[in-house]
Amino acid sequence: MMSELFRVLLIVGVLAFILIIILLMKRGHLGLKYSLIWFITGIVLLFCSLFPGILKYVTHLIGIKSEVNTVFFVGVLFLLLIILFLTTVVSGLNDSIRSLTQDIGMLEKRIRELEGKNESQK
Amino acid sequence: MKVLVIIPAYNEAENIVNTVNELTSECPDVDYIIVNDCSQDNTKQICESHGFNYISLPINLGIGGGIQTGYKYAVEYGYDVAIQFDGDGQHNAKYISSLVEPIEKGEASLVIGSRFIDKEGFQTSFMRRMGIGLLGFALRICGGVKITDATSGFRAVSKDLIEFFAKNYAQDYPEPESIIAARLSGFSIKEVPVVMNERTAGVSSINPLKSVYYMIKVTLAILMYRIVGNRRR
Repeated sequence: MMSELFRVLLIVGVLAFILIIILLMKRGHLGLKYSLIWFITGIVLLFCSLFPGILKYVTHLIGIKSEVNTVFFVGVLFLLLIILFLTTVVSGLNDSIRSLTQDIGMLEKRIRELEGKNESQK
Repeated sequence: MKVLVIIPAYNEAENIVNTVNELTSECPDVDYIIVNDCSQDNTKQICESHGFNYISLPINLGIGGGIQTGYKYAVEYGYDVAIQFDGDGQHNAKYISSLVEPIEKGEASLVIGSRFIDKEGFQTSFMRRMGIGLLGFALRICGGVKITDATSGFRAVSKDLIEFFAKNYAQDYPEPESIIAARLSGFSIKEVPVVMNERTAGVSSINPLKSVYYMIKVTLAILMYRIVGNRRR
């Protein structure tokens, strides 16, 4: 069973979470591409804490005794997914930075040589 | 045949001048490019003051990214053969012709200089040799190639493989990983005997204490290549 205090805490926490997301988006610290998933997460959490019936149903469906455990279970799965997704993002950024670094190195060499040629022509 | 020697250099201020001078006197008809991988010492200044042909990376990419820069350069300037040649004096320029020969004859796309075929010169420590043997075993099982010196950074690469490496080159453990990547993409590999020297100055990038850990990771990486395949083409 979910206690009343836990529900209140959950609602307050989720509202704070959504507020932080909106603030971050407003200040441009969170790209739209990544903010959407967090925003949807916040909405889902809000619904679950406002209408605990949803949670009760899901808990019953997968055969877990306490709703709190369902929250933990789904939460951990979700976090794992997010981390995996972030790892792919980091890998992509890594590749881009490497490629840029290599191209900058080659361009720098060309500029250096062109400048050298210019100097000698003067 | 336009031949480019790629010399990766990270903190090689003490070795780089000797390396380049030996190279240019031994093989006057090949071009070279030094890739200074954001060295902390004055490698860059030395290259500049000696008028060497060099690329200087603004961020340290590690050996894989440095070598790949050389391959990109080789593609841009249309070289037929690229040689990887360490900047620390371990490799001897007089073997370059024997590395290029199988490529000229069309026998192989990747020619690796191995110090364990004739077992002459510097043979490294017993532990290292064990590790290299293990890597060779992994490559044999996963790639079906017989490689005696998988960690050798002295190798020649044909034009089509240069283009492949310019696009995707293993970053984490480049020497053994690039062998399996090339092999699984259908490139032929050959080893030729070379004699290597002990490093004349500076420190090797692989710390002996970390060697065991390195070997385990590389063996796993080779296995991963076998399982995942080379999707990045």
